[in-house]
Amino acid sequence: MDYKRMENNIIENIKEEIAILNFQKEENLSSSQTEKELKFSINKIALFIFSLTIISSGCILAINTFKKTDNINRKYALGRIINLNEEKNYIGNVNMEYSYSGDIGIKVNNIILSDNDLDIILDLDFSKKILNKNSVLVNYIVYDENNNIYSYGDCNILDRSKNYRKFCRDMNINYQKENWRDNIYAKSQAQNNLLETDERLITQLAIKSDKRLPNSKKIFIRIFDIGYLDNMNFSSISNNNEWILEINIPDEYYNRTNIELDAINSTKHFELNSAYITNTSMTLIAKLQGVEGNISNKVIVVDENGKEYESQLIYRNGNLFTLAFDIKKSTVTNKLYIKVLSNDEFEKIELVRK
Amino acid sequence: MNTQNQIKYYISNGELDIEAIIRNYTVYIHKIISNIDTCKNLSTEDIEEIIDDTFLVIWKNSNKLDKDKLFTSYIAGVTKNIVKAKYRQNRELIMHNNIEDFENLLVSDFNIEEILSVKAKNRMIQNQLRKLKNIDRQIFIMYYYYSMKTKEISQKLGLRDMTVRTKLHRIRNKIKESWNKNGL
Repeated sequence: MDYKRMENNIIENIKEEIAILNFQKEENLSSSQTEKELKFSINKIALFIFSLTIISSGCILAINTFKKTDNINRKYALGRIINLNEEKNYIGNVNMEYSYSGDIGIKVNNIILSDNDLDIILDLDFSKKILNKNSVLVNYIVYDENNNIYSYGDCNILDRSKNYRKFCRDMNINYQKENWRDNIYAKSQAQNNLLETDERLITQLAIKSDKRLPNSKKIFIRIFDIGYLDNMNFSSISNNNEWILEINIPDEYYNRTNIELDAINSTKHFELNSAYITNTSMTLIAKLQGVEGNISNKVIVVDENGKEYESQLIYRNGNLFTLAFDIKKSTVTNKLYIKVLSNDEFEKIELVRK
Repeated sequence: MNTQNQIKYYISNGELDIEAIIRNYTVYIHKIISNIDTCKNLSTEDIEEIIDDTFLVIWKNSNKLDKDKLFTSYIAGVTKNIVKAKYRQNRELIMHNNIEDFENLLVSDFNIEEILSVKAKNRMIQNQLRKLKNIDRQIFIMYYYYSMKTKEISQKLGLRDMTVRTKLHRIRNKIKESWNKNGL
């Protein structure tokens, strides 16, 4: 048996097969069709309806109806990990065409909204203006019809509030120079590039808050700028073009419900403020004493099957911590416990449903 | 041939080094196949196909692999299930060596039949790819397998960037046409 020849044949064949699979995945993402992970129940989430909003004459519009990775991977490197199988009945699919401003088109592919998470999947078309940079970022603001600001992301290191001030002027909102970030819900936000090719960028905006996100009828995403960081300086590639995308929120998101929790006991190092579980994750707000260093493996939630969930720190205000856990309404067990590690000892707190 | 390294040694930049895996495990998989009664009279091409299928299934399920285990923990289970799927018969698959049941458990959620079905459908696309000019096939592989950018491809092949992009655009259209024609 000529194993060398066999190995060479197999290698050439596998390269073709993998290339074809990657090509198909790219095509499936592009048509927002039924790549298996993106199947979800349209009956549960209404199709979104979109409309045009004009802010100012300097702003060109996004109209609408809602890196390169080697292997298009639905687990995100930063921010919240979306498990598409667990959340397939809760993800909103947004039926939207690209809106072009200059040579770049943008649309929203998906949105997930709960009391503690907002995830937006943006899809950018560069086919008219080839992208030859990696790690492209967007400067954006997400807000609702009542001007509640979900999130503001700006990579202009020298003047982080520049676009925010512009937004306040356009919307006739009072800009408070001191503590301007206090009005923004997001305390943890990440931009994860899922697909980056010469012609296309698909990016996730993952937003978490220490406060419950508002009940909005409409969400707006305004993109001020697209560019990349070059030695900590932001270089724009969008030539002063801007986009605004508007999404009408369906009743399933607007009327969402949660599992509210209470603690049976408190300990020397832990006192619960509030805890709740949504369709996307669990939030725990508590006072911690004597718990230092990396929190993620010092405050753990354990379910009744013994499965442990490490925490993600969302926000800290003195000794009041807001933590997130990857537990959802669809996966939570009847009993939950918190384990708190302090001075090499674990304390245990039992959680019950209110 | 080295089959004693843990899976993590075959991971580079978060991806499986499939070529190294093929070099180290082809002979091993052949030995497994040789011990299956149903496979006693298979041609070299059929054996090669089963081995190819095994590597493709492993690659597709790379995120499910326990990186501290050896590949041998998974390979026998995958190979056995592929043979079962391909040569499904009424009688039980008889193997002369002891394959632990735990290997089968490890791969029970690997969707082997589905992957084989997709592979069979993609055979038509593969044939279309092989009919392309050599340079076009190279560009496709460099873009979709090696994930190179068009600029890198153009430098490697001594072409202009625009030429590479145009060729890629045409290749995609040809493949999509074949795809749609065959109802995929």
